[in-house]
Order: sequence, then C-alpha cells, then structure tokens
Amino acid sequence: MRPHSLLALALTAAATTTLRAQSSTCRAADDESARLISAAKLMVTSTDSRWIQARNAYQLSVVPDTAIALVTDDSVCAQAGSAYNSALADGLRHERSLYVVRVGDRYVVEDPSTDASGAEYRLIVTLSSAFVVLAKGAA
Amino acid sequence: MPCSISGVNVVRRANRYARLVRLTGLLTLPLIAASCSGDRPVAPTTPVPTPAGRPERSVVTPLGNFQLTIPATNTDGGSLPWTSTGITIPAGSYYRIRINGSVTVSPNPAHQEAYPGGTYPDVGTYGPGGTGKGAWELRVGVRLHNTTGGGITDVPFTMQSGTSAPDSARSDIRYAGTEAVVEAGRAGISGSTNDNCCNGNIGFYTLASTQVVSVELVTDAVHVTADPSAVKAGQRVTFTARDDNGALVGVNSWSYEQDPGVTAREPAGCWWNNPCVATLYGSLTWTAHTNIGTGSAHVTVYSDFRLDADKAEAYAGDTVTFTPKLDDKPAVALRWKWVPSDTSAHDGTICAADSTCKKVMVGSGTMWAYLSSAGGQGDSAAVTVTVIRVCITNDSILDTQAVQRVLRSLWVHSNADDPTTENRREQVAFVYRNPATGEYSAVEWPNPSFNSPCKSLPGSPAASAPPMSWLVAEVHTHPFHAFDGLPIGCTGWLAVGSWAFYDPVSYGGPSGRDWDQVNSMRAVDEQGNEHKIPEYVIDQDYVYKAVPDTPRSQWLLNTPTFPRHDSSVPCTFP
Repeated sequence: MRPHSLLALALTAAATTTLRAQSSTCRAADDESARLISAAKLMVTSTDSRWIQARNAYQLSVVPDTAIALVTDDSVCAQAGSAYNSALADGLRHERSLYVVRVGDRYVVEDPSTDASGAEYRLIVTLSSAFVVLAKGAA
Repeated sequence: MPCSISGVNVVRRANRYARLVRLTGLLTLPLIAASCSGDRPVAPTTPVPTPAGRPERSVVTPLGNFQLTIPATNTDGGSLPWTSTGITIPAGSYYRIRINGSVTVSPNPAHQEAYPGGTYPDVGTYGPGGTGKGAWELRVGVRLHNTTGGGITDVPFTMQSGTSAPDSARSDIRYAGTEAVVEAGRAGISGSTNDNCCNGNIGFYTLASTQVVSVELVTDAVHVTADPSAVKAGQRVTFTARDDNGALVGVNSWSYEQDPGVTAREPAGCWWNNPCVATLYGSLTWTAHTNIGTGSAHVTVYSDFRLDADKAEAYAGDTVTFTPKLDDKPAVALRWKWVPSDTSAHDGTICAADSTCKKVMVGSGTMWAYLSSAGGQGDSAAVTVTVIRVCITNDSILDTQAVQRVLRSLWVHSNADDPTTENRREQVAFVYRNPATGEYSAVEWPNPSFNSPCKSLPGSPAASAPPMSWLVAEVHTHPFHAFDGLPIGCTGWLAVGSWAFYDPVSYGGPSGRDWDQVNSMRAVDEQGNEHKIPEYVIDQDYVYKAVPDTPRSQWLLNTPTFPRHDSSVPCTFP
C-alpha cells in the first residue's frame, strides 16, 4: 500500500472515532442518575470530612444545590462522551449513553455500562466546562 | 573415705548393705559389701554429655522376664535353688530388677490324710518377702553371676514379709560393671511330719507360685538442675541431682566440661555435696556421677538477657510466644510471671521452665522471665504486649470472634500496608452459619492467579470449608484508603499513563460492581432454596455491608458502615 493511502485510512479511522464519540447521548433521569446527583450534592455541600475529601479529589467547588442538575442536552453529552472516551484505553472508546451531571461550571460524568476489563470499579470523571478531564475516580 | 579416680573425687557410700542373710534350705544370698578397693560396681567417671531436652523421667528398657517355679509341696523343703534366668545384663549398664507375684501356701491333702488333726499355721499367700518366719521362708533372692570370672553379686531388695506384705519388690537402680547373668532363687518353707514308719516324711503344705523376675535397663535416672541456669561471670549456681521421685541422689562426684571454645577461669570443684554450689566464669555442662547413672545440666554464662515476644500487639484470643534470649541466643527461663496492666483482671499464665512461653492473650500486660527458680535471685527480663480491643459493630456476623480472626488474616493477605500498591491484593472469604448451632465461621478463598489490587474472585478454600449450603455472606477487601491512587497495573482500562483514585463514597462504600454482584449472586440452602446474601467490603478505613435489594436511593447514606478504628474507645476492627 502506498503512503498516501495509509494516511487516508488513518484519517478515515480518526473521523470514525470522532463520529462515534459525537454520537454519545444523555441518559434519562432514573434511580441511578438520582444516586449520582445525590453524591455530587454531598460532595459540594457536606461538611463531613470524607465528602470534603471527595470534593477535593473530584476537583469540584462548593456550589449551591441549584447549580447541580442532570444534563439532557445531547450535544453536551456528545462532547462529554468524547472526553470520557479519551480517559479510556483505545479498545474501550465507543459511543455511549451517559449520565452527565452539571456541578457549577463542571460536569461529573459516568457510564454505568463501562466495561473495565473485569475490574472492580466504574469510572467517574470530572470535566471542565471545556470538556477537559480533570479527575478520574474508580467507584 | 574419699578416693580419687581419674582426677575425680569419689566417695563409696554402700556399706549399709554389708551383711549376710541365710535362707532356709540350700540357699545363702550374700548381699553387697563395698570398699574403695573392692569389686563393688563403680559408676563411670567420664563426663557424659547430656543431650538437650533430657527427659525428666528415667528411660526404662525391658531386658527380660523369668517365671519362678516352685515344688508342688514342701516335703523336700520347697525351695528353688539358684537358677539362671537366662537374662544377661550388658557390661556398663544401669539396671533394676522387679519381683512380682506371690506364693500360695495351702494344707497338703496327703499330710491331712496321713496325719489327721494336724494344724497348718503358715497357710496363706506371700509376696517376694516370704512369711517372715524362720530362715527367710519363701523369700526370693536375686543375684548376678558375672559371665567372665564367675564373680557373684547379690542384688539387695527392701522387702516386707507376711500375708499382708506387698506382692512385689524392686531393687534400686544399680550398675553392672561387667556382663552378668541374672540368677534367682527362693527359700523354702519348714514344716513336715515323718513317722519313720508307715507314711514317711510328708510336708505340711502344697505350694503354688505366680512370681516373675523382671529385669530392665535404666538410663537417664539422674536429673540435674542448675539454678540459675544462666548467670553472669562470677555468679553462683546451685546444682542438684535428683531421682525420678525428686529425692536427692547420693553423688559420688561432680565433673564439668566447658562449652567448645570457652576458655574461662576454671570453677572450683564440689566434692560429693548434693546440692553443689559453684561459682562459674564460662558456659559449661555440669555432671553428677552417681550409683544410678549420670545426669547433667548446662549453664550459660552471659552478658545480656532479654525477653522477646513475637507480637508487640495482639488481639484477645491470639497466642503470643515469648522467647528469652541470652546474648541473642534462645535460652531457658526457669520462672515466668505475667503481670496484667489491669491489676484487677484475673489474667495469669503458668509456664514451666522452658525456652518459650506461649500465652493466649486476654488483656494487655507484661511478661517477666527469670533465670532463677527462686524469687529474688538471678536475672530477669520483661516485655510488654498490648492487646488490641476489637470494635463492637453490633453486626452479628462481624462481632463473631471466629469470623474476626479470618478477616484479620484476610486483611493481612491483602498486603494493604505495602507501600508498593501493585503488591496489594483484593482477597475473598465466605462466611458460613452452622444451621444446627447457629455459629458463624469464615474461610478464606485465595485466588492468587486472578486477584489483583483492584479485582478478585473466590479461588479455592484455604482451609476445610463448611458446606456451601451454610453460606451466609461474602467478604472481600479493597486494600486502599479513600482517594488513594490505584496502581496503574490494575487500571489497564484507562488511557495509557492515566490513573484513577479509589472512590468509596459515590456508591456508599461498596463499588458499583459490588452492588451488581450482591443483587445477582445466589446461595442455595440445604433445602435447595435460592437466596441472596450480603457482601462485606473491607477497606483501610471502614467495613461496608452491601445488603441485597437495598434501594439505590439508600446506597449513599444508609449502607451499614463500620469504622475500622475508633480512637475514642480505642479499638480497631477486625
């Protein structure tokens, strides 16, 4: 195969990856999203040392309850999905259905279907408003 | 009168046996006479090293038995002449001879018929001491007949006589300097009538015997103690030689042999005194030479004495092993004392003189080890052990001691304190409940080929496990503190070079997958009914209990959570 053909194939693969990431969607509100929102609220409001530790670990700030909400905008979830995928190993990057919780100017993102290769934990990430991964928790 | 053999002072002590005894009929059994120049058996004088752990009881090896026969009547006196038992005692042996059984004397029917109206005063049953009448009637004698030279040595016994006397007798432990065959005999019993005409001579009695002579070799019959068993140079030690019964043994001489390489000042001798007190300057073995053998004790001369414990902290029920050490080498403490920190506690321990003392811990305290058996003498050393109080959880499974022990082991096997986090391991155990007794137990199920710092599955039981139908809970570990970074090796699902922290709060303690598992896992009871079981998760800070079918909304704030450490008590779990 000639070099320019290889380049074309690589670009196609990258576009496919982006396309798949962009196709990530928001999960609807349910018991699981309620749990994630509750956890986020405790992190940013609780005075318990353990929750304060969690707030610091996830790089969240103290914000009022009202600044915490489940995101339902698929364009936001698509960008969150792309960022979430970037935290994962190559073979695990694909389109997702995500819980994205806005916490002030940050997002807490979790995909409860994450296949972590048999590991114990699920990945929860904190994203900046620019969808940069700030913290990764294994919960 | 003392005399010297091979540079060792020896005193003969057996003159008390110097007399002769004449028996009825054919026998004369001379007993031993002794002097310095005589042929009385003499104990060896070469120091005999005593192996460590010398038994405190004699070692007895049976050499043989011999049935003593008896004539049917005493018409011809009824004696048993000296007869070889066929039992040979090897040269240089210590031996003991026992005589067991009795002779039964009954009226002779032939005499009764021939001489009606006769009386038979000696009817009865007699032990080896005989009747006590006449010339040692029915008394058993034993002697040694040297196989070379033909010398004969009588074996003395202390015997009682008469019908109420014991039916057994034994000799002291004695030394056979040369090989000898054991011979035995028995005196007869008087009483016969002879009309010199029609009936002739007829004995009064019929005789029957169950008597057996038994010969045994005896070793380690002398037990020497050294008190203290360890001293500093220039201190005094008391050596005492005793027999199996704890009685002082007559010592012919003492000798010593310094340990290899020891070139300390020689101690003064002790003649034949027992106990013997000596001032020591170097480690040595001190030996008593007696008529029943030799016995030795070792004394260590040291400069440093300390007591080690294999655990500085322990849980109630744990066994702690204490080891006294002299100059870093394990030693024997002659006395131990446990002093509980809580002086009102009834917490004592009795340990014999030994190189270790094992104590099942009840409460904190201090163990003392002493080098002397007498209070106020000898050196001592102490070590304190703190008993860790286990936190009460009010969870029936977690508050079971048998379960706690396994959980402690599970945690130890998790290597949770290893600073190299890659070396930590999740570990799994199952908890069982005996349906008959209601008792809980737990067994680890290690799975070294699968488990990692971040994942685990049950492998094979580490110990005999109860039936799976008794299963009531699963336990596994998360060997991290909250928000510790997980090792990259077990987060291979993250982008290369990326890492995540351990988050035990977002799902209420157990991980998301733990909740998946607790809601999907099924146990099957003895009736074949499926049921869900709770899952305990132990991390560095807490124990969490994932209860099946807990509503998701309850996970965060209502998962039962038990602190691993409570400084207000203080206590720790498990």
